[in-house]
Amino acid sequence: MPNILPEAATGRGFGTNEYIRRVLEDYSDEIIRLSYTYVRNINDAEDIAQDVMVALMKRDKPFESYEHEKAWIFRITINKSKNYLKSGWIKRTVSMEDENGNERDFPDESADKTEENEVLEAVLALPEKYRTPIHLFYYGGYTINEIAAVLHKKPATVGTLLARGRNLLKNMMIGGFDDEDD
Amino acid sequence: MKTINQYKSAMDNIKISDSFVSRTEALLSEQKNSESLSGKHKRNGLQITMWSGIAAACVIGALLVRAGIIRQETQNDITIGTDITSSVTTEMTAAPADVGMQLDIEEDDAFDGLDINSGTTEAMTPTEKASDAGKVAETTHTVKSEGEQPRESKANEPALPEDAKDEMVMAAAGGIPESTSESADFAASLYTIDFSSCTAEIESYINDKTQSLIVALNGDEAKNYADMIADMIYSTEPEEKNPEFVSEFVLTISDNSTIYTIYLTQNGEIVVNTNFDGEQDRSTYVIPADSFTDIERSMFIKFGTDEDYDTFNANRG
Repeated sequence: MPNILPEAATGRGFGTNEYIRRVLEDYSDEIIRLSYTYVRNINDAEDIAQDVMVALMKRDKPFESYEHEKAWIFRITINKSKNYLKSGWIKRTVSMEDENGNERDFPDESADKTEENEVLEAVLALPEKYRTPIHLFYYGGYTINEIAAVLHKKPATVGTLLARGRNLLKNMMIGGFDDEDD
Repeated sequence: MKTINQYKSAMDNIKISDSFVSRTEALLSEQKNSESLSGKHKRNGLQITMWSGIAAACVIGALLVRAGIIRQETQNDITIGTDITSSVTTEMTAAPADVGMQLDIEEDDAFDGLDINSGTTEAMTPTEKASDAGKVAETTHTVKSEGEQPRESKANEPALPEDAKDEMVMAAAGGIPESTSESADFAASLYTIDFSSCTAEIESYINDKTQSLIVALNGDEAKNYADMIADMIYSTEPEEKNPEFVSEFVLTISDNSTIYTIYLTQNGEIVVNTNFDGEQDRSTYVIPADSFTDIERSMFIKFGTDEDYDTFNANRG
Protein backbone atom coordinates (compact mmCIF):
# COMPACT_ATOMS: atom_id res chain seq x y z
CA MET A 1 0.00 0.00 0.00
CA PRO A 2 1.48 3.38 -0.89
CA ASN A 3 2.15 5.67 2.05
CA ILE A 4 2.27 8.86 0.06
CA LEU A 5 -1.18 10.07 -0.83
CA PRO A 6 -1.66 10.21 -4.57
CA GLU A 7 -2.32 13.89 -5.07
CA ALA A 8 -5.23 13.32 -7.38
CA ALA A 9 -7.30 11.53 -4.75
CA THR A 10 -7.34 14.51 -2.46
CA GLY A 11 -7.32 17.60 -4.59
CA ARG A 12 -5.74 18.81 -7.79
CA GLY A 13 -6.28 16.39 -10.62
CA PHE A 14 -9.20 14.68 -8.98
CA GLY A 15 -11.70 13.47 -11.55
CA THR A 16 -9.35 13.93 -14.52
CA ASN A 17 -8.87 11.19 -17.07
CA GLU A 18 -5.45 10.45 -15.59
CA TYR A 19 -6.94 10.10 -12.14
CA ILE A 20 -9.67 7.73 -13.33
CA ARG A 21 -7.08 5.70 -15.24
CA ARG A 22 -4.91 5.42 -12.14
CA VAL A 23 -7.87 4.24 -10.05
CA LEU A 24 -8.91 1.82 -12.78
CA GLU A 25 -5.44 0.31 -12.88
CA ASP A 26 -5.02 0.26 -9.10
CA TYR A 27 -8.41 -1.08 -8.13
CA SER A 28 -10.29 -2.75 -10.97
CA ASP A 29 -9.07 -6.27 -10.12
CA GLU A 30 -9.90 -5.85 -6.46
CA ILE A 31 -13.29 -4.29 -7.16
CA ILE A 32 -14.23 -7.11 -9.51
CA ARG A 33 -13.12 -9.82 -7.12
CA LEU A 34 -14.79 -8.20 -4.13
CA SER A 35 -18.00 -7.91 -6.12
CA TYR A 36 -17.59 -11.52 -7.23
CA THR A 37 -17.79 -12.64 -3.60
CA TYR A 38 -21.35 -11.26 -3.63
CA VAL A 39 -22.67 -11.93 -7.12
CA ARG A 40 -20.65 -15.11 -7.89
CA ASN A 41 -20.52 -14.32 -11.55
CA ILE A 42 -17.54 -12.66 -13.15
CA ASN A 43 -19.54 -10.92 -15.90
CA ASP A 44 -21.86 -9.36 -13.37
CA ALA A 45 -18.91 -8.45 -11.17
CA GLU A 46 -17.32 -6.64 -14.13
CA ASP A 47 -20.56 -4.75 -14.79
CA ILE A 48 -20.70 -3.69 -11.16
CA ALA A 49 -17.07 -2.59 -11.29
CA GLN A 50 -17.96 -0.37 -14.25
CA ASP A 51 -20.84 1.11 -12.23
CA VAL A 52 -18.42 1.84 -9.42
CA MET A 53 -16.10 3.66 -11.82
CA VAL A 54 -19.02 5.68 -13.18
CA ALA A 55 -20.00 6.60 -9.60
CA LEU A 56 -16.41 7.67 -8.96
CA MET A 57 -16.38 9.76 -12.13
CA LYS A 58 -19.59 11.49 -11.03
CA ARG A 59 -18.22 12.26 -7.59
CA ASP A 60 -17.44 15.96 -7.46
CA LYS A 61 -15.70 16.10 -4.09
CA PRO A 62 -12.09 14.95 -3.68
CA PHE A 63 -11.33 12.43 -0.96
CA GLU A 64 -9.89 13.38 2.39
CA SER A 65 -7.09 10.89 1.97
CA TYR A 66 -5.95 7.92 -0.02
CA GLU A 67 -7.40 5.67 2.69
CA HIS A 68 -10.72 7.46 2.34
CA GLU A 69 -10.65 6.91 -1.41
CA LYS A 70 -9.99 3.20 -0.96
CA ALA A 71 -12.66 2.76 1.73
CA TRP A 72 -15.19 4.66 -0.39
CA ILE A 73 -14.50 2.58 -3.49
CA PHE A 74 -14.86 -0.73 -1.65
CA ARG A 75 -17.94 0.47 0.22
CA ILE A 76 -19.58 1.51 -3.05
CA THR A 77 -18.64 -1.87 -4.53
CA ILE A 78 -20.33 -3.67 -1.65
CA ASN A 79 -23.45 -1.47 -1.84
CA LYS A 80 -23.77 -1.85 -5.58
CA SER A 81 -23.29 -5.60 -5.34
CA LYS A 82 -26.00 -5.84 -2.67
CA ASN A 83 -28.33 -3.62 -4.67
CA TYR A 84 -27.71 -5.76 -7.70
CA LEU A 85 -28.63 -8.92 -5.80
CA LYS A 86 -31.82 -7.26 -4.60
CA SER A 87 -32.69 -5.77 -7.96
CA GLY A 88 -34.13 -8.86 -9.58
CA TRP A 89 -32.07 -8.14 -12.67
CA ILE A 90 -29.69 -10.97 -12.00
CA LYS A 91 -28.72 -12.44 -15.29
CA ARG A 92 -29.74 -16.02 -15.73
CA THR A 93 -27.17 -16.70 -18.39
CA VAL A 94 -23.50 -17.21 -17.69
CA SER A 95 -20.93 -16.55 -20.33
CA MET A 96 -18.75 -19.61 -20.78
CA GLU A 97 -16.10 -17.95 -22.88
CA ASP A 98 -14.27 -14.66 -22.83
CA GLU A 99 -13.85 -12.50 -25.90
CA ASN A 100 -10.94 -14.67 -27.06
CA GLY A 101 -12.95 -17.82 -26.83
CA ASN A 102 -11.17 -19.03 -23.70
CA GLU A 103 -13.22 -20.74 -21.08
CA ARG A 104 -13.58 -18.55 -18.02
CA ASP A 105 -15.06 -18.59 -14.61
CA PHE A 106 -14.68 -22.33 -14.27
CA PRO A 107 -12.09 -23.90 -12.05
CA ASP A 108 -9.18 -26.01 -13.15
CA GLU A 109 -9.79 -29.63 -12.24
CA SER A 110 -6.23 -30.60 -11.24
CA ALA A 111 -5.86 -31.96 -7.69
CA ASP A 112 -4.24 -28.79 -6.29
CA LYS A 113 -6.78 -26.61 -8.00
CA THR A 114 -9.63 -28.72 -6.69
CA GLU A 115 -8.38 -28.16 -3.18
CA GLU A 116 -8.05 -24.42 -3.82
CA ASN A 117 -11.53 -24.31 -5.22
CA GLU A 118 -12.88 -26.07 -2.16
CA VAL A 119 -11.40 -23.30 -0.03
CA LEU A 120 -12.85 -20.70 -2.38
CA GLU A 121 -16.29 -22.30 -2.23
CA ALA A 122 -16.08 -22.52 1.54
CA VAL A 123 -15.22 -18.83 1.88
CA LEU A 124 -17.95 -17.84 -0.56
CA ALA A 125 -20.42 -19.92 1.42
CA LEU A 126 -19.73 -17.94 4.61
CA PRO A 127 -22.33 -15.41 5.74
CA GLU A 128 -21.55 -11.96 4.37
CA LYS A 129 -20.45 -10.51 7.70
CA TYR A 130 -17.58 -13.02 7.88
CA ARG A 131 -16.95 -13.41 4.16
CA THR A 132 -16.17 -9.79 3.38
CA PRO A 133 -13.59 -9.27 6.16
CA ILE A 134 -11.99 -12.61 5.25
CA HIS A 135 -11.81 -11.62 1.59
CA LEU A 136 -10.37 -8.19 2.28
CA PHE A 137 -7.87 -9.58 4.79
CA TYR A 138 -6.67 -12.67 2.95
CA TYR A 139 -7.13 -11.62 -0.63
CA GLY A 140 -6.75 -7.86 -0.46
CA GLY A 141 -4.08 -7.96 2.22
CA TYR A 142 -5.71 -5.10 4.09
CA THR A 143 -5.15 -4.43 7.75
CA ILE A 144 -7.89 -4.76 10.31
CA ASN A 145 -8.04 -0.96 10.60
CA GLU A 146 -8.45 -0.56 6.85
CA ILE A 147 -11.20 -3.17 6.78
CA ALA A 148 -12.89 -1.44 9.70
CA ALA A 149 -12.94 1.79 7.68
CA VAL A 150 -14.54 0.03 4.70
CA LEU A 151 -17.16 -1.78 6.75
CA HIS A 152 -17.84 1.07 9.17
CA LYS A 153 -17.11 -1.21 12.09
CA LYS A 154 -14.74 -1.00 15.01
CA PRO A 155 -11.35 -2.72 14.47
CA ALA A 156 -12.09 -5.01 17.42
CA THR A 157 -15.33 -6.10 15.76
CA VAL A 158 -13.48 -6.84 12.53
CA GLY A 159 -10.97 -8.91 14.50
CA THR A 160 -13.80 -10.90 16.04
CA LEU A 161 -15.47 -11.42 12.67
CA LEU A 162 -12.20 -12.67 11.18
CA ALA A 163 -11.67 -15.12 14.05
CA ARG A 164 -15.23 -16.43 13.84
CA GLY A 165 -15.02 -16.68 10.06
CA ARG A 166 -11.85 -18.75 10.31
CA ASN A 167 -13.48 -21.04 12.88
CA LEU A 168 -16.43 -21.53 10.58
CA LEU A 169 -14.06 -22.40 7.74
CA LYS A 170 -12.33 -24.98 9.93
CA ASN A 171 -15.66 -26.61 10.66
CA MET A 172 -16.62 -26.61 7.00
CA MET A 173 -13.42 -28.18 5.74
CA ILE A 174 -13.23 -31.93 5.45
CA GLY A 175 -9.68 -33.26 5.49
CA GLY A 176 -8.21 -30.56 7.70
CA PHE A 177 -7.74 -26.84 7.48
CA ASP A 178 -4.87 -24.71 8.60
CA ASP A 179 -5.54 -21.03 9.20
CA GLU A 180 -1.84 -20.37 9.09
CA ASP A 181 -2.22 -16.63 9.10
CA ASP A 182 -3.86 -16.74 12.50
CA MET B 1 -4.15 -29.94 4.31
CA LYS B 2 -6.08 -26.96 2.98
CA THR B 3 -4.96 -23.49 3.96
CA ILE B 4 -6.60 -20.11 3.91
CA ASN B 5 -3.88 -18.94 1.51
CA GLN B 6 -5.34 -21.22 -1.13
CA TYR B 7 -8.24 -18.82 -1.20
CA LYS B 8 -6.00 -16.13 -2.68
CA SER B 9 -4.73 -18.36 -5.45
CA ALA B 10 -8.20 -19.67 -6.19
CA MET B 11 -9.45 -16.10 -6.42
CA ASP B 12 -6.57 -15.17 -8.70
CA ASN B 13 -7.47 -18.06 -10.96
CA ILE B 14 -10.81 -16.46 -11.77
CA LYS B 15 -10.17 -14.83 -15.11
CA ILE B 16 -11.15 -11.25 -15.66
CA SER B 17 -11.84 -10.11 -19.17
CA ASP B 18 -8.65 -8.77 -20.79
CA SER B 19 -10.59 -5.95 -22.32
CA PHE B 20 -12.15 -4.79 -19.06
CA VAL B 21 -9.94 -1.72 -18.65
CA SER B 22 -10.28 -0.59 -22.25
CA ARG B 23 -14.06 -1.21 -22.25
CA THR B 24 -14.43 0.75 -19.02
CA GLU B 25 -12.32 3.63 -20.32
CA ALA B 26 -14.51 3.79 -23.40
CA LEU B 27 -17.64 3.69 -21.27
CA LEU B 28 -16.38 6.46 -19.03
CA SER B 29 -15.47 8.73 -21.91
CA GLU B 30 -18.92 8.15 -23.40
CA GLN B 31 -20.46 9.02 -20.06
CA LYS B 32 -18.35 12.15 -19.82
CA ASN B 33 -19.48 13.29 -23.25
CA SER B 34 -23.13 12.69 -22.50
CA GLU B 35 -22.72 14.41 -19.12
CA SER B 36 -21.28 17.50 -20.74
CA LEU B 37 -24.16 17.53 -23.24
CA SER B 38 -26.76 17.10 -20.52
CA GLY B 39 -24.89 19.76 -18.51
CA LYS B 40 -25.65 22.25 -21.28
CA HIS B 41 -29.29 21.18 -21.26
CA LYS B 42 -29.33 21.50 -17.49
CA ARG B 43 -27.91 25.01 -17.65
CA ASN B 44 -30.62 25.97 -20.16
CA GLY B 45 -33.21 24.32 -17.94
CA LEU B 46 -31.89 26.19 -14.92
CA GLN B 47 -32.13 29.51 -16.74
CA ILE B 48 -35.73 28.77 -17.70
CA THR B 49 -36.51 27.70 -14.13
CA MET B 50 -34.88 30.83 -12.75
CA TRP B 51 -36.84 33.16 -15.02
CA SER B 52 -40.07 31.25 -14.35
CA GLY B 53 -39.38 31.55 -10.62
CA ILE B 54 -38.82 35.30 -10.88
CA ALA B 55 -42.02 35.68 -12.91
CA ALA B 56 -44.00 33.60 -10.42
CA ALA B 57 -42.58 35.63 -7.52
CA CYS B 58 -43.65 38.86 -9.25
CA VAL B 59 -47.18 37.54 -9.76
CA ILE B 60 -47.42 36.38 -6.13
CA GLY B 61 -46.01 39.69 -4.92
CA ALA B 62 -48.55 41.60 -7.00
CA LEU B 63 -51.39 39.43 -5.67
CA LEU B 64 -50.22 39.91 -2.08
CA VAL B 65 -50.01 43.68 -2.50
CA ARG B 66 -53.44 43.67 -4.12
CA ALA B 67 -54.86 41.51 -1.32
CA GLY B 68 -53.39 43.93 1.23
CA ILE B 69 -54.87 46.97 -0.54
CA ILE B 70 -58.30 45.33 -0.84
CA ARG B 71 -58.27 44.37 2.81
CA GLN B 72 -57.31 47.87 3.90
CA GLU B 73 -60.08 49.25 1.76
CA THR B 74 -62.52 46.72 3.24
CA GLN B 75 -61.47 47.57 6.79
CA ASN B 76 -61.90 51.27 6.04
CA ASP B 77 -65.35 50.56 4.59
CA ILE B 78 -66.35 48.61 7.69
CA THR B 79 -65.11 51.31 10.05
CA ILE B 80 -67.08 53.85 8.10
CA GLY B 81 -70.01 51.48 7.97
CA THR B 82 -70.19 50.89 11.72
CA ASP B 83 -69.66 54.51 12.57
CA ILE B 84 -71.75 56.14 9.92
CA THR B 85 -73.82 53.80 7.79
CA SER B 86 -76.06 51.60 9.92
CA SER B 87 -77.24 49.46 6.98
CA VAL B 88 -73.74 48.02 6.39
CA THR B 89 -73.43 46.99 10.05
CA THR B 90 -76.79 45.26 9.89
CA GLU B 91 -75.76 43.29 6.83
CA MET B 92 -72.66 42.03 8.54
CA THR B 93 -74.79 40.69 11.49
CA ALA B 94 -71.95 41.03 13.97
CA ALA B 95 -70.26 43.53 16.18
CA PRO B 96 -67.77 45.71 14.31
CA ALA B 97 -64.73 44.17 15.97
CA ASP B 98 -65.88 40.63 15.15
CA VAL B 99 -66.57 41.50 11.58
CA GLY B 100 -63.16 43.04 11.31
CA MET B 101 -61.64 39.86 12.72
CA GLN B 102 -63.47 37.56 10.39
CA LEU B 103 -62.43 39.52 7.37
CA ASP B 104 -58.91 39.50 8.68
CA ILE B 105 -58.95 35.74 8.98
CA GLU B 106 -60.29 35.30 5.51
CA GLU B 107 -57.45 37.42 4.24
CA ASP B 108 -55.05 35.20 6.18
CA ASP B 109 -56.49 32.20 4.44
CA ALA B 110 -56.03 33.86 1.11
CA PHE B 111 -52.45 34.57 2.09
CA ASP B 112 -51.85 31.01 3.26
CA GLY B 113 -53.51 29.66 0.16
CA LEU B 114 -51.18 31.59 -2.04
CA ASP B 115 -48.29 30.46 0.04
CA ILE B 116 -49.09 26.81 0.06
CA ASN B 117 -50.27 26.55 -3.48
CA SER B 118 -47.13 28.21 -4.70
CA GLY B 119 -45.28 24.96 -4.30
CA THR B 120 -44.83 23.89 -0.70
CA THR B 121 -47.74 21.46 -0.49
CA GLU B 122 -45.72 18.65 -1.99
CA ALA B 123 -43.13 18.97 0.72
CA MET B 124 -45.68 18.80 3.52
CA THR B 125 -45.89 15.73 5.68
CA PRO B 126 -49.11 13.74 5.94
CA THR B 127 -49.54 15.15 9.44
CA GLU B 128 -49.16 18.64 8.11
CA LYS B 129 -51.65 17.91 5.37
CA ALA B 130 -54.12 16.49 7.86
CA SER B 131 -53.71 19.38 10.22
CA ASP B 132 -53.87 21.79 7.31
CA ALA B 133 -57.49 20.77 6.75
CA GLY B 134 -58.43 22.06 10.18
CA LYS B 135 -56.35 25.16 9.85
CA VAL B 136 -59.14 27.67 9.28
CA ALA B 137 -61.04 26.67 12.38
CA GLU B 138 -57.86 26.54 14.45
CA THR B 139 -56.75 29.94 13.24
CA THR B 140 -60.13 31.46 13.92
CA HIS B 141 -60.10 30.11 17.43
CA THR B 142 -56.58 31.29 18.13
CA VAL B 143 -57.17 34.79 16.88
CA LYS B 144 -60.45 35.23 18.73
CA SER B 145 -58.90 34.12 21.98
CA GLU B 146 -56.25 36.82 21.65
CA GLY B 147 -58.59 39.49 22.87
CA GLU B 148 -60.23 39.91 19.49
CA GLN B 149 -57.80 42.54 18.30
CA PRO B 150 -57.47 42.83 14.55
CA ARG B 151 -53.95 42.11 13.34
CA GLU B 152 -51.94 44.54 11.28
CA SER B 153 -52.25 44.31 7.57
CA LYS B 154 -50.04 41.62 6.00
CA ALA B 155 -49.19 44.06 3.26
CA ASN B 156 -47.20 46.06 5.78
CA GLU B 157 -45.21 43.07 7.00
CA PRO B 158 -41.75 42.37 5.60
CA ALA B 159 -41.57 39.45 3.17
CA LEU B 160 -40.85 36.14 4.88
CA PRO B 161 -38.69 33.38 3.44
CA GLU B 162 -40.68 30.39 2.19
CA ASP B 163 -39.50 28.15 5.04
CA ALA B 164 -40.46 30.64 7.69
CA LYS B 165 -43.87 31.00 6.08
CA ASP B 166 -44.32 27.25 6.13
CA GLU B 167 -43.34 27.14 9.78
CA MET B 168 -45.82 29.93 10.46
CA VAL B 169 -48.59 28.07 8.67
CA MET B 170 -47.78 24.89 10.59
CA ALA B 171 -47.66 26.74 13.90
CA ALA B 172 -51.01 28.33 13.10
CA ALA B 173 -52.37 24.89 12.33
CA GLY B 174 -51.19 23.81 15.76
CA GLY B 175 -50.03 20.48 14.38
CA ILE B 176 -46.27 20.41 14.15
CA PRO B 177 -44.04 21.14 17.08
CA GLU B 178 -40.64 22.66 16.47
CA SER B 179 -38.30 20.16 14.93
CA THR B 180 -34.60 19.61 15.41
CA SER B 181 -32.63 20.12 12.25
CA GLU B 182 -30.99 16.68 12.40
CA SER B 183 -34.20 14.76 12.84
CA ALA B 184 -35.84 16.96 10.21
CA ASP B 185 -33.01 16.07 7.82
CA PHE B 186 -33.53 12.38 8.44
CA ALA B 187 -37.28 12.71 8.10
CA ALA B 188 -36.86 14.75 4.92
CA SER B 189 -34.66 12.06 3.45
CA LEU B 190 -37.36 9.47 4.13
CA TYR B 191 -39.89 11.61 2.28
CA THR B 192 -37.66 11.83 -0.76
CA ILE B 193 -37.19 8.10 -1.35
CA ASP B 194 -37.95 7.13 -4.91
CA PHE B 195 -40.71 4.67 -4.06
CA SER B 196 -41.47 3.92 -7.69
CA SER B 197 -38.20 2.08 -8.11
CA CYS B 198 -37.36 1.02 -4.58
CA THR B 199 -37.09 -2.43 -3.12
CA ALA B 200 -38.39 -2.85 0.39
CA GLU B 201 -38.88 -5.57 2.95
CA ILE B 202 -39.64 -6.05 6.60
CA GLU B 203 -37.81 -8.63 8.65
CA SER B 204 -39.42 -9.81 11.86
CA TYR B 205 -37.40 -11.09 14.78
CA ILE B 206 -40.39 -11.25 17.09
CA ASN B 207 -40.78 -15.01 17.35
CA ASP B 208 -37.24 -16.18 16.86
CA LYS B 209 -34.22 -14.08 17.75
CA THR B 210 -31.87 -16.04 15.55
CA GLN B 211 -33.97 -16.47 12.44
CA SER B 212 -36.01 -13.83 10.74
CA LEU B 213 -39.17 -13.88 8.68
CA ILE B 214 -39.16 -11.59 5.68
CA VAL B 215 -42.05 -9.95 3.87
CA ALA B 216 -41.44 -7.95 0.69
CA LEU B 217 -43.26 -4.63 0.36
CA ASN B 218 -44.46 -2.78 -2.71
CA GLY B 219 -43.73 0.91 -3.23
CA ASP B 220 -47.00 2.13 -1.68
CA GLU B 221 -46.59 -0.02 1.41
CA ALA B 222 -43.00 1.12 1.80
CA LYS B 223 -44.12 4.74 1.43
CA ASN B 224 -46.75 4.30 4.15
CA TYR B 225 -44.16 2.99 6.58
CA ALA B 226 -41.56 5.57 5.63
CA ASP B 227 -44.08 8.43 6.00
CA MET B 228 -45.26 7.09 9.34
CA ILE B 229 -41.73 6.88 10.66
CA ALA B 230 -40.73 10.24 9.19
CA ASP B 231 -43.73 11.85 10.94
CA MET B 232 -42.66 10.30 14.22
CA ILE B 233 -39.02 11.30 14.09
CA TYR B 234 -39.62 14.75 12.56
CA SER B 235 -40.08 16.39 15.92
CA THR B 236 -37.99 14.02 18.03
CA GLU B 237 -34.53 14.92 19.21
CA PRO B 238 -32.17 12.06 18.33
CA GLU B 239 -30.28 10.44 21.21
CA GLU B 240 -26.73 11.64 21.72
CA LYS B 241 -25.36 8.12 21.34
CA ASN B 242 -26.53 5.13 19.40
CA PRO B 243 -26.81 2.43 22.06
CA GLU B 244 -26.77 -1.28 21.26
CA PHE B 245 -30.18 -2.73 20.69
CA VAL B 246 -32.14 -5.87 19.94
CA SER B 247 -34.38 -5.59 16.87
CA GLU B 248 -38.00 -6.58 16.70
CA PHE B 249 -38.45 -5.49 13.10
CA VAL B 250 -36.05 -4.31 10.45
CA LEU B 251 -37.46 -2.31 7.56
CA THR B 252 -35.08 -2.01 4.62
CA ILE B 253 -35.82 0.33 1.74
CA SER B 254 -33.32 0.76 -1.09
CA ASP B 255 -33.75 3.21 -3.89
CA ASN B 256 -31.23 4.00 -6.58
CA SER B 257 -28.98 6.00 -4.31
CA THR B 258 -29.57 5.09 -0.70
CA ILE B 259 -30.21 2.13 1.54
CA TYR B 260 -32.42 2.95 4.52
CA THR B 261 -32.41 0.42 7.33
CA ILE B 262 -34.93 1.22 10.04
CA TYR B 263 -34.93 -0.83 13.22
CA LEU B 264 -37.73 -1.07 15.74
CA THR B 265 -36.00 -2.12 18.91
CA GLN B 266 -37.14 -3.99 21.98
CA ASN B 267 -36.59 -0.82 23.99
CA GLY B 268 -39.18 1.10 21.99
CA GLU B 269 -36.65 3.05 19.92
CA ILE B 270 -36.55 3.69 16.22
CA VAL B 271 -33.05 3.52 14.77
CA VAL B 272 -32.64 4.98 11.31
CA ASN B 273 -29.56 4.03 9.36
CA THR B 274 -28.88 5.58 5.96
CA ASN B 275 -26.22 4.40 3.62
CA PHE B 276 -25.62 6.84 0.81
CA ASP B 277 -22.74 6.24 -1.57
CA GLY B 278 -20.74 4.52 1.12
CA GLU B 279 -21.39 7.24 3.70
CA GLN B 280 -23.30 5.82 6.61
CA ASP B 281 -25.30 7.75 9.16
CA ARG B 282 -27.31 6.49 12.09
CA SER B 283 -29.66 8.09 14.58
CA THR B 284 -31.63 6.64 17.46
CA TYR B 285 -34.99 8.11 18.44
CA VAL B 286 -36.95 7.34 21.56
CA ILE B 287 -40.52 8.00 20.58
CA PRO B 288 -43.71 8.09 22.65
CA ALA B 289 -45.01 4.64 23.59
CA ASP B 290 -48.33 5.02 21.78
CA SER B 291 -46.63 6.07 18.54
CA PHE B 292 -44.26 3.14 18.86
CA THR B 293 -47.21 0.79 19.42
CA ASP B 294 -48.82 2.10 16.22
CA ILE B 295 -45.81 1.39 14.03
CA GLU B 296 -45.08 -1.86 15.82
CA ARG B 297 -48.63 -3.07 15.30
CA SER B 298 -48.59 -2.05 11.63
CA MET B 299 -45.44 -4.11 11.08
CA PHE B 300 -46.61 -7.00 13.22
CA ILE B 301 -49.78 -7.53 11.19
CA LYS B 302 -47.60 -8.19 8.15
CA PHE B 303 -46.73 -11.45 9.90
CA GLY B 304 -49.80 -12.12 12.03
CA THR B 305 -53.23 -10.84 12.98
CA ASP B 306 -54.33 -7.94 15.14
CA GLU B 307 -55.31 -10.45 17.81
CA ASP B 308 -51.84 -12.00 17.67
CA TYR B 309 -50.38 -8.56 18.25
CA ASP B 310 -52.65 -7.92 21.24
CA THR B 311 -51.58 -11.26 22.72
CA PHE B 312 -47.91 -10.47 22.03
CA ASN B 313 -48.29 -7.02 23.55
CA ALA B 314 -50.05 -8.36 26.63
CA ASN B 315 -47.51 -11.11 27.22
CA ARG B 316 -44.28 -9.20 26.93
CA GLY B 317 -42.44 -8.46 30.08
